Amino acid sequence: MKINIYPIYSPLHDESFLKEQTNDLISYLSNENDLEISLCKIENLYDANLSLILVESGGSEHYFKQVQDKLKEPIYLLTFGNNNSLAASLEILTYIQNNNKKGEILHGSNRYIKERIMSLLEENHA
Amino acid sequence: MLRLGVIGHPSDWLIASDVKYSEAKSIFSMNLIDIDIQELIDLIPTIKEDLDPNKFSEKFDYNELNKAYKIYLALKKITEDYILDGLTVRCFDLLSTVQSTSCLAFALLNAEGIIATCEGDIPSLISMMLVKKYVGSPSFQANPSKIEIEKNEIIFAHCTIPLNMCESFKFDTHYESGIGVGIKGEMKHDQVYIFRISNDLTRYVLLKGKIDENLNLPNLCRTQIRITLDKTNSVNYFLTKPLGNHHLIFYSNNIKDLQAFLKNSGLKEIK
Repeated sequence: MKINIYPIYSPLHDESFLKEQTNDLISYLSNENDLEISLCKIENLYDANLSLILVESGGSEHYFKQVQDKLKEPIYLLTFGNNNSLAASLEILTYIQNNNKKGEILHGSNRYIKERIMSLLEENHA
Repeated sequence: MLRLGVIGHPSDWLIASDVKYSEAKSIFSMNLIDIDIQELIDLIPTIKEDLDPNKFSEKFDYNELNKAYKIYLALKKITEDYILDGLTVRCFDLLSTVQSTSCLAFALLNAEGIIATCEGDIPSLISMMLVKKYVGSPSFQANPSKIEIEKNEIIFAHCTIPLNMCESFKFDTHYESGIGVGIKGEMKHDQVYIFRISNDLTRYVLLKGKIDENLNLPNLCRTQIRITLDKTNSVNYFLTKPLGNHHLIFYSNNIKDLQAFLKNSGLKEIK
């Protein structure tokens, strides 16, 4: 099963640190599952079984607005919490729902995120 | 009619926090007054008064504290000049222009009863004023920062907190910028409420919980608390239908007047 992830972040945060955290999360999610997880360009986001926006930091909300027209519902916002990324995800999800679109934040323990992703993949496959 | 200053526009990342000023006036009797942030930036270097080195017992770089204290004095002058009951500031604009932060200023103003919120966040400003008016408590404006769904727990963090909500506090730099003065407060482990209104002023969330722990995590804003929600509330609200980013945390045993006002004003509660 293939998962494509499009990351957004604010330059206020240390990019190398964000990438390190992103790589850790992807490694965890890839382990023990038959998952092929890739960071991608926005044009390729939907060439996969599941497509996620990875909110890497606070201050990334207006970068979401720049790509919103290319996104399909429901919009899944994956976030690990550090660097105010959960806070940004809340603002983005509110914006999505204020515009009468569907979305969900995927956040919590790594185990919870993995289980939720597997569940979404099953729903998409059914 | 309450008078609330909006100093600078809301920060660019607050994409779901725009408020119609006319509705804030008609629903909450709050008059939102736009003030150019350049007025604040120009005022700060004209402040001659220096911080009394003995005002705070906590140790920190005096020059940084003094710069941050002048922001407080400048904001206080603006509240007097415009006869304001509260204000919000597009505070990240101060990083590059003043090379400091308004976290200390907000901590002091809020402790004095002058409502002050970060980032030009108007729903937080209105929410905080409602808590002051109908509960009589100060509020901690904070970012939801981590959630443990299985435990119904949520961590909140921000770099400012009303000093009178802290059992103790230390100074640190502001998290995102690494400059200025942020507040690392320690809060009493007690019952709290988590509150905010929606930006269209039609809905609100009011969740009950208990502060279990003050934290010291490396990649979050300086004041950090862990709250376990009451069994009747769920952290799923934050992941599925939030009303925005910033939420307000306040201590209280009596929220009846706040609930009654919100209900009578036609706002719908989100759970």
